[in-house]
Amino acid sequence: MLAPKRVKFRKTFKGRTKGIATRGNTVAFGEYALMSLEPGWVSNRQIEAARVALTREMKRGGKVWIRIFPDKPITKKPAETRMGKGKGNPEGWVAVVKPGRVLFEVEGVEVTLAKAALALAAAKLPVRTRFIKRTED
Amino acid sequence: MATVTLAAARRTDTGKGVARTLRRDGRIPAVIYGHNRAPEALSLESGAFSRLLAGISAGSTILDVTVDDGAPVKALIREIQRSPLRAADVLHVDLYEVSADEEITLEVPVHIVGTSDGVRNFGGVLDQVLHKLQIRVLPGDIPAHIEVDVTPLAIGKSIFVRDVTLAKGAILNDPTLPICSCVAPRTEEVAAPAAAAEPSTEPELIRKAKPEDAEAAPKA
Repeated sequence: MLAPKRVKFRKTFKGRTKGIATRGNTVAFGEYALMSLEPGWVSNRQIEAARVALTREMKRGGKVWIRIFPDKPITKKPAETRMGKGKGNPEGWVAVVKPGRVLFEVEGVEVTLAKAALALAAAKLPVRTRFIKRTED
Repeated sequence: MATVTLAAARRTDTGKGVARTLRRDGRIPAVIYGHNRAPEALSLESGAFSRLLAGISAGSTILDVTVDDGAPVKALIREIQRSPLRAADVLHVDLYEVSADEEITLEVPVHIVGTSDGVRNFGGVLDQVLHKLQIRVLPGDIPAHIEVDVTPLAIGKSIFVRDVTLAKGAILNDPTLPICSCVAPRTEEVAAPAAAAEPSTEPELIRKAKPEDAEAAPKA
């Protein structure tokens, strides 16, 4: 699963996700892509589940690009713990996604297969998505 | 190449408020600049521009742009800004006036033709690395696209920029860059061992850990 190798800080603030994606919002590598339509956190487990669904549907043909990276640590307090006594321990990693962000790209498959595979991947993600194609301008 | 006409209206007001008002009224803010002329703010009719885009290769078609009732000028679409969420919504258009006897630099899309030998017979995957080529050419000789025939391409082989020739004009990209490659199909994934599948959520710190970090880690 995707996770940073080294980080500057073990824990981060929750933050607020405002606005739309101003970077990573175009199809840059492949021919077809999955674009997020709403803000959210996509965990490394969800990214991996989507990738597996995508590659299985494409029967290992074509090529896949993952355009997001989970670099934000998420903390969690243990079960049945009283509130207070500081922030919880890091439990996982998420990618912060804004509307318009390209999440996955594929190439080397027919459009119908790309659509079906990306729909399966979209079902693993916590954000609404749209299938998009590369534009020539 | 057939001539495509585009009607534009001159506008004196600029800025994002004006641009938003224009878009609400079904128009697209635009600008024209280039060949020895001062930049001029324009607006285009949104519906007409969308219909025009559907029928042409946007970046490589010379348009006859008529500003108000003036004489038509030859121009290229240099940039189309689109809404990141709805690609059909055009936010702004840059038009670049060209002169017939002056060479221009522009990007032309690359179209792959045929099915490569490696894909057809050996289950390989065609990986297109370059989707556009930068060329220098006279406006009258601009190709709508550059065709690259990949039929003889075997697995592990690539077609490079140097392998492509233009009838007129020159390609400016690095000749050693690959345009497309035929790569071997991915091998079966080997299930990773359990330890590798669940990496630690505690990566190494770039800075030196403070004592409170060290105390916090074992606390559960």
